[in-house]
Formats: sequence, C-alpha cells, structure tokens
Amino acid sequence: MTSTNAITSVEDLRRLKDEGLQAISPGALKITVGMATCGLACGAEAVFKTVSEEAGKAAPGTIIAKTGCIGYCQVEPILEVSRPGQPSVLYKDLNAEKARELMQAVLGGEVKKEWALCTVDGQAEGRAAASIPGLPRLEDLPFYQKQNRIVLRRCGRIDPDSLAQYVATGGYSLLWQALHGMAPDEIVAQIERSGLRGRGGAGFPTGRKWRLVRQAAGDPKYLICNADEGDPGAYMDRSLLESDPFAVLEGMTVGAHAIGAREGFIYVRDEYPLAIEKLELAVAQARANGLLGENILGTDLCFDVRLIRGGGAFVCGEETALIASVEGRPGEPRQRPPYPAESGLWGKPTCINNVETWANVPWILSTGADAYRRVGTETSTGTKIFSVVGKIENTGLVEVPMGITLREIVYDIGGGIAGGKRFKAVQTGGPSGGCIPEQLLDLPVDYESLTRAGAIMGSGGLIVMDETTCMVDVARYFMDFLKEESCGKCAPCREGIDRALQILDRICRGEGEDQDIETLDSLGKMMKGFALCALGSTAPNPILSTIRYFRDEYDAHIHDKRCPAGVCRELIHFRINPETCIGCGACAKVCPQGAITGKRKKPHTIDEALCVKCGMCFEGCKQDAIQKG
Amino acid sequence: MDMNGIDTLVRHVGTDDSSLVAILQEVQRKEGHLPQRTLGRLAQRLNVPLSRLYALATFYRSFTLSPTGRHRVCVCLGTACHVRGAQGILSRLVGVLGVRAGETTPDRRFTLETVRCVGCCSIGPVARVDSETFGRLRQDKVAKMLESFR
Repeated sequence: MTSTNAITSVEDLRRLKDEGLQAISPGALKITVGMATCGLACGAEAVFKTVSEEAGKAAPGTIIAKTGCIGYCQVEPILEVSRPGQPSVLYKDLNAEKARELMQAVLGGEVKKEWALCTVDGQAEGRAAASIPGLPRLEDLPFYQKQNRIVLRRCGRIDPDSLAQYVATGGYSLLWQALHGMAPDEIVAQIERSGLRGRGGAGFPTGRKWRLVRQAAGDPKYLICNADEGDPGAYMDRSLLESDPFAVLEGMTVGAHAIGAREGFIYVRDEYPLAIEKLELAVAQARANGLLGENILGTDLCFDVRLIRGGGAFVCGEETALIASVEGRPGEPRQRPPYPAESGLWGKPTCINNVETWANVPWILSTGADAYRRVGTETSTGTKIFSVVGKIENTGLVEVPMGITLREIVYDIGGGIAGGKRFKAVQTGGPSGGCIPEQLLDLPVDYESLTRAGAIMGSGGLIVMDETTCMVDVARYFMDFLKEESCGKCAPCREGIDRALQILDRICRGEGEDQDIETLDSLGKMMKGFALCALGSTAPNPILSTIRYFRDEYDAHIHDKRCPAGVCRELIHFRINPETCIGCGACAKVCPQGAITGKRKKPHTIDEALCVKCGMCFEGCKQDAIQKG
Repeated sequence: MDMNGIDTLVRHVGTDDSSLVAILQEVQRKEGHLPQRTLGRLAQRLNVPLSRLYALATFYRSFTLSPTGRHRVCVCLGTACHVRGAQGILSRLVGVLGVRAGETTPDRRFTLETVRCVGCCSIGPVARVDSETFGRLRQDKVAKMLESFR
C-alpha cells in the first residue's frame, strides 16, 4: 500500500525540490548551527538556544536552522549567517556568550570579521557575489583547498532531517533515472567500470561483489550497510549518517534494484545514538514518501531496510561476525569461503558494503563511471574520506582524491603538528593498520602503497603522532584494545594477542628482555598465517610496523629502561628544576597526591614516593620548570 | 520487569532472532542492567534457552549483569583520545570517584566505564556522562564535569 505522500512522478519530485530550495534559500535572514555530535559536544546546543532567544526578541522573522558536520571539527561550534543576495558567513569557535554578542551584531547588519571563518555560497546569485573583502572563501582555506568534497558535499550545508532539502540538492533524481531507464546489469557494469573499492577497509572491488551477489543462486538476497565503524579514530561514517543519511538510503535502494534484493539491514554501532536517530528519521520519511517499501517511485521495486543497533563489539565490523549478530548470535566470525556474496545472512547471498561505499553510488551513477575514474589513481579511483586527528593543528574530516600524499594531508590540509612539536608518525587503518614515519610522508594515499608500507587504508582514520607519543606504548595500546575485542574463538588470535600484550606490558614497565623482539616477530607471523579472521590476522600490524620504523624506541625501553617520549609511567620521573621554579605553588595545588611541597617563592620539590606520574603539575606549570624524563 | 512488561516489550520489538539483541538493549535501558529474573522470564516468553540469552549478555559490551549507578561516566580510550592523554583523564576519574573502571561508587551515584571510540576523535580527550558528551577535556576539568550530575 503506498502512502498518500508517495512520490510517483517527476512533478512530485520537482514539487519536493522546490520546497527544499525554498528552505535552503528562504529569502530572509537565516541562521544555521552545526548540530552533529562534535558540535554538540563542544556546546552547539547552548549556541542554538542563545541564537533562537536573541532572534525571537529582536527579529522574529529570522529562520533558525540546524545542519550536520561541515568537517572542520577543530573550530566547532560553527554557525552560518545567510542573507538574500549576499554570500553567507561562517563563524567559528562559538559559545553562548559569543553567540549572544554575534547575534546582536548580525541583527544590526554587521559582519563580525574577527570571529568569522570564511564565506560560502549562500543565498547569493552567482559566484561573483560570493565574497566579502577581508574574508577568505571556504574553498580557499588551507583546510579545504586540496579537498574534493563530493561524497560530503551536503554535510553541513543542508538540514539532514529534511527530505525536501536532500531532493533540492540532487537527491533521488538518480534513483528515478535508475528505476525508469537503467537495467540492473547496466548498473552493476557501471559500478565495476568505476573501479569503486570497498571503503570499509579491505578495498574489495564493489562492482565485483555486486556481480557475485547478482549471479549467486539463492533467494531472497540481502543488502547490508556496515555502519559498525569500530576503528578508534575514525568517524566519517558517523558524520555521513548524521549529516546526509538519505545518500546512504538512496545508494542502498539503487543497489537493491541492481542486485535483486528486497530487504536491507543497516547495522549501526550502539555508541552512535545521534546517527541512529537521524537514520530512523530518514527511513520513516523515505517510507512515508514511497522511497522505501512497496512500489518505490511508483515502480515494481519493493525494498525496505531495518535498523539494527550493535552491541558494543568491535569484531562485529567483520562481515561474518556482523551477520552472526543480525542472526541473534554472539558476533563470532566464521570460516570463509563461502563468502557472504554466496552464502551470507541466513545462508542467502548477501551484499555487505560500508556506509561510505553506499554513499559513493549515487554520484558514480549520475556522473558516470568514466568521470569517477578521472579522480584518484588507476587502481584506487575516486575520493576517500579521512578523519585527521591526533597531534595535528586542524582536526576534522577531509575528503581527498586517492593519490594525494600523506605530506599534503598532514601539512597542507592539517596545518602541521599542533604546538610546534615534531612530527613522528601517522597511524592508519586502526588496529589492523600501522604507523608510517616521516621518511615515507610522500607516499601517495592508495590501497597498494599503504599496504606495502606495512599499514593499510582501513576505514580512513589518520592519527597523527608527534615526539611526545611513545611508539612502544602505541603497539601496547592496540594489543590491549584487541585483547578485549577478540571474540576468543580461535587460538592464534586469543592466545597470540594475549601473549604479545604481556610482552609489551613488560617492556613498557622496564622489564624487557633481549629476545622480546624476536618473540613478537614470530607471534606476528603465526597470527598472520593462522587466525580465523582479519581481526587476528592483522593484529600484528601495529607491532610489526612500529618495530620496523621505530626500533630505536624499543631498544631504549628494553636495554636502557628508558622511554624517550616520556610516556611510559614506570620509566619516567618528574623533577622540578630549582633554577627555574619561582615557587608559585600552582603545581602543589593541582597535585592529587599531595606530593609537592615547598615554601612560597622558594623552589618546590616532588616526593617521588608519592608521585603517580599523572603529569598534572607538568601541564599546569607556566614556568616550564618541571622536567619529564 | 514482570511478564506484562516483557509481553509489551516483545510485542513492540519482535520475536524473531534479529530482535533478541534489541530486546536485551531495551531491558538494559529501562532497568540499568539485565536482571537475572528478567532474563529468565524472557527466555520463557521467547522460547529460547536461558544460556542463549546469557551468551549474548556476556559477549556484547552494551550489557551489564549487575546494577549500575544513577549516572554512567564513560571515558573514551580511542586512539586519537589516547595520544591526547585519555589515560590521564581515566586516572583522574579513578582518583575522584574512588572506583576502578567497571565499578560503581558506594553511593550508587556513578558507574565508571571505558569505551573504545565514540567518534568524537577531533575533540579528544572525550568522556560521556549519560547522554552528554564532553570534549577537549583536561585533567583539571574532570571534577567540574561531574558536578551537575546528582
């Protein structure tokens, strides 16, 4: 039964598009606040409330709106002021107090340049109007200049809850074309020719997967969207789901048409409550408008999705574990072959793709495989979204063409190391990945290059590390993570990770032994060769890559009982330099152990017996009088 | 949760295999943990072995078998937060609350937990108290963060 709001004609789509355009450019003053998870965690709710209050008092006709994440998370909360006939201004680093002052200025017609980030095309007509003297345009900011924001194009620019705004920015026109004029085989062929590879980490050719599922014997066939983004440091899927959920739904619906599936599942991490909320809203609207369910867009296609919340298990990002979870069992991977494409959910042919992969589909099919191939490299086509985080000046989500170098991402886009410190490594691929040192910064970012360097592309987490990061501690950190997340089914992973962690713990405590490196190496080979799934077989990567590039740090820990980066607590000591200490007592005030004593204006001392190496004194000392080493 | 409550829940969520985890998640949300008696009743109502529900309850980190405090304090130990000092935040919380990760304060006010990434990696270190996320944390801001949660 189709809903009375069902879109069944081009006119229906056009009506929705007009509604969306009107909301995007209402012809009145419009204030939009970024309200994705990062923005909210930085205080966007208070900014939104203040803005609504001020507008309510002084200019009740003002439109107050919400949007998702524009990617420049470093400077959240972000707000956009949009006026008819003028470029919009984006303001950054806001809080309730600043928002109040800003609103008063804005309602008085001012542009507060000192708080502005840049201008963007807003309700202005044509590019010529899109600039204000003294303010850069968004695309000219170093953070954005080298990006190709295609998959992310709507994020932070539209209201993610609005189907009309999605349609107004091109949404669902591809699905219309696909269902009214593209045969399933043709769609699969386009995806094959585009060279799209799975964006979840393994990089398997998406077109080949679709072909395999399409050809597999078995009915029904299932689609799954893997939104169990578990790699710590990676959050591009969360951001896409919160900021442009319809893109994922449209991609899946086209996929259902191409593969012959009637039912899909979106498996989202439990730790992403806002993403789940946005998806539920999008699915409900899609159903109400005949874009999911029976007779989609008035055609024969029947396809619907079910949202499944993960149970907090990293291993469920692995496709067979995810399937087990959907089937109501603990998320334990199983032997492959058979692969899910042949025998997946309930033994039926199943196509599992990552969120970003599905979101690439509408773009590829509307601009064509050849246009897609022109972006990126020969074997890694298109763009990739990376979360650039860690010890970097500009943190955020960036979408770049494959083939860009790590150096460009870290220095041109990321702005280099925060606090003027020295770059040490970039960690990619999460717990399955590795650390890439300075000498390899000119590596192009593509699947093969990263794998050759001992890392992997992974889902796109790019964690920048500096001179204050201990690489042995990083290896230990990942083993600690994997020990908790290992499902325990196979001995190589369960026992191998446990043993590797014991050794790394010992090394970080200053109890390393000569043969430890050799043992870690041999454990690594064992896990790579014999673990049941990729969690176990890639577990050695963080250890092996840090040994390969940072052997000197391991040697310092094992032979000299020293942590050069000053991280491993048992190996570091905090000392107050009596020559630079002015006796202000700031350190003594913050010390949770009461370990610091001294008379006013006289050098203080730390009692090592009481010191727990928390580092709060070190962080708080304005004289740099506390030494760590 | 009595049998009536369970009936309503099951009717709302579903009785198929794919609904099992979702049902347990609803119980966790309403009761703050998975009480043994409720699990027993669920097993009866759904006609599945109790051991199957226990397997799910003990495999997935979302579930706790013992009661939690009024507020859940969750420190993110993701990689980006780790390199920005998440361990320090955790140590500070252990010091302030007087309990280790996984434990509840004697007055049942807080349960301290850890999580491996809530996806706020660009504003680390991060902690969540109930549904509120706090970014750009520093060790000296930790006590203040807890103040409004009675």
